[in-house]
Amino acid sequence: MLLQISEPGQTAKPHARKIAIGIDLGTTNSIVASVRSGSPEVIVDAEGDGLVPSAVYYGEAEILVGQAAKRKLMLDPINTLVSVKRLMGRGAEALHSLGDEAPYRLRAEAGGMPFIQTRQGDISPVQASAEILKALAERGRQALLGGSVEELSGAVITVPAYFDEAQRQATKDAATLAGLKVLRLLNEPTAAAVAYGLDRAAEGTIAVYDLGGGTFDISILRLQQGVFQVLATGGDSALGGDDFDMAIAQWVMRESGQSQNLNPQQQRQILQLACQAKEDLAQQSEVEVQWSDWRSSLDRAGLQVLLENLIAKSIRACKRALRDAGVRAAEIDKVVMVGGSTRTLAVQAAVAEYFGSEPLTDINPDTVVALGAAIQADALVGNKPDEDMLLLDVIPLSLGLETMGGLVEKVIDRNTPIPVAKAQEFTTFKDGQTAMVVHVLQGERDLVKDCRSLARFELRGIPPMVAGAAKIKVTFQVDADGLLAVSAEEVATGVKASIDVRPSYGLDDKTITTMLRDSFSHAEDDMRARALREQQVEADRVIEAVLVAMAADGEKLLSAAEYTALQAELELLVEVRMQSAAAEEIEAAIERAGKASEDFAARRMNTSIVGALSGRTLDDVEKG
Amino acid sequence: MSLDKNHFQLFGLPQSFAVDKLVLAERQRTLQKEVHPDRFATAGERQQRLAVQMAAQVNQAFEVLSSPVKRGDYLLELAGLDTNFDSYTHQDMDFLMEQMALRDSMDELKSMAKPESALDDLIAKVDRLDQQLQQQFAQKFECGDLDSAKGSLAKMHFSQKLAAELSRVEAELLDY
Repeated sequence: MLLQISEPGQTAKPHARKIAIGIDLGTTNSIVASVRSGSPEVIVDAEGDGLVPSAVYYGEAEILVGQAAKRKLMLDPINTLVSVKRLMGRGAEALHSLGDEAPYRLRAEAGGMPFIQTRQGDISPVQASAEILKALAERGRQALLGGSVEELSGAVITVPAYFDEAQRQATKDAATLAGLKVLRLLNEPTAAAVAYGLDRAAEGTIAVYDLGGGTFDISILRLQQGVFQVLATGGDSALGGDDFDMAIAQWVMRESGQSQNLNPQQQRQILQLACQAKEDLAQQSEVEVQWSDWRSSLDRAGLQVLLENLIAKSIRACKRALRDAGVRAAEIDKVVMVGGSTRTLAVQAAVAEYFGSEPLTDINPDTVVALGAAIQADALVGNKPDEDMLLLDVIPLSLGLETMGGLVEKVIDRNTPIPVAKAQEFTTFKDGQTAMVVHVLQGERDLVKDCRSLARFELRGIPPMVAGAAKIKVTFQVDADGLLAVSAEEVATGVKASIDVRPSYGLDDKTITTMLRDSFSHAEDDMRARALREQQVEADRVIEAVLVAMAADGEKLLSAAEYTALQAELELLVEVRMQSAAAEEIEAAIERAGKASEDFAARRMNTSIVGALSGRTLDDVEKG
Repeated sequence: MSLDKNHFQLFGLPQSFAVDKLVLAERQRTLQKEVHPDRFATAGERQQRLAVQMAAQVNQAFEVLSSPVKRGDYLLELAGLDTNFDSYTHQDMDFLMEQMALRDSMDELKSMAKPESALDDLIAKVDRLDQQLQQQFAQKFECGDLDSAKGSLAKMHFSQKLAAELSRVEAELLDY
């Protein structure tokens, strides 16, 4: 079979518009959005509702997600999971974050991740999130592709900026389980800035103030020449609208002489009352508050006093972020508001005062993140080849290693731009030592016990030498999603040490594969069909990418012999892709073609760099 | 697999201590537009991995070229000198005395009722000193006196540590 490679300058395939979605995977509600006819839109259900409650119900035979699951919350609380985002990538100790009343039966392996016992078995937070993602993707697929067999090209999923590596990895694992191709994990504040920024095509420095129910995020970004660069990110993972409600509730209790001993039901009632008062004060200047036979009124000034300390805490975090970014408050051109709690007027006033400019509130703070994710997803699948937009993000928390005495030595500082790779040298302390353990942590504190444990790596196969003679270079690489990869090598001998990764609170690859298999009721056949489909899609990606590259630069960057050899490899891949029904065979062919084209790919990138810097075209560069 | 260039070559800059920050930032954006993994979001996994490595290399080069101390270290390393300053013995007693005096001033800030203006003065002083050291380094390096340049660089390391601590003290005092 002969492969058609078009002439340089022509695209190898007619450019088809690809369908991609943006997902805001929230604690309480999730949203899926997509760019349709040029502008981002939230995808709504038949009732016109865009919010999908982040709830999963495990019934006798079925799994329900969203509104249908939320309706089961009161009837069957043990089998209805909510707020699982709080447990993502966390250890069993994070369970208290669900409140004392979480009715779940839990199983936590010692020091490991928590599982929730349902009638359908033990469910990890990753699995429950995967169900939500599946439902969102299906909603997107139905709306965008209807009954067609075509699949989504991929998804951008947003995560809080403060999410550590384990929490990001858990989110990506959930997407893998849901069968979604993740184009990028995007920080929520960055997504919000995209939703605002691209509309206006502005240049300047932007602050994104994101106050949700339980967490506060602040990000400082710079938009220049179409590049969105995150300069610094910070926040407070225990500050949000729930604290506002608590402050108002305490005021009610103080004023009404209510004793502190409320039963759980009364607690819920008084918090609900407080929340209602807070929300009403965004619309009207004064509200009546009534608690049993006590009655009073609360106005906006009164609310401001109650919330003063909490809001001041958020402003302090803004100061820190500005300092990290090396930017003064007066230099901020625009402030973007995200999260339902920014509807509180006292918050808007404090933010306006600190930054000296009125915050932008014209996009609904509940949907702005999903809309930004949709815009980014659309750009990533190549639907906007003319727009030069690029997002450069940072690592939100420092990465470090455990050293002697329970101390942490930082390897990568917070707010370092990603992707990043850093190498660290270790040595052996015993003669003939052939293995060592490396403990990776994330956080800003000096002591191991105050940081989050990400993983332990066991390096094996170190050549036996006298103590201190072996030098093991361990390279930590953080990709554009904020995910970590580790490799190790003995410097003198070049021997690669093998690494066993044990995520502290995550799932290892084997577990994910098992879960994938278990998630198919008709096990083997489904599993095989899906694996085959995945390899076919990956093969298509590789074929298209290499074809486009060869059409553009093949004649310039490859010798005639190299060109023919690469063409032959690609033809082989096309043949296997078309004829084989075995996923492993296609995978092997992809690997071969990938290897054969890697040098060409590197040459292209090198050449494009030279061209970009000199402002000349590739042709000019080649001609010298 | 990596870009076969040193940091200066990668950014298309002359191998010199003087670097134009605006040009550097502009080239950083230009280069990332070419190599960032988002540019290859729908290409195969191998191309993605390659892009991650190259984008990391661009970021690493940017970090080194942006920081005077790291840039100095790098220039001397390219010239074949050892830049491990952990066991470096400082010869210049006046410099060490001055550094100790600055440290004392920093400690005094902590017990002041209104440290703001003293803090600003100290920050300005440390900054001036740092600028001087950078000039010294640049001068000696450009005329090829690498051993003297290394002496200035050792002082820059010293001064940078002080600046970092001062920045921590500032955060504490101003309640960031």
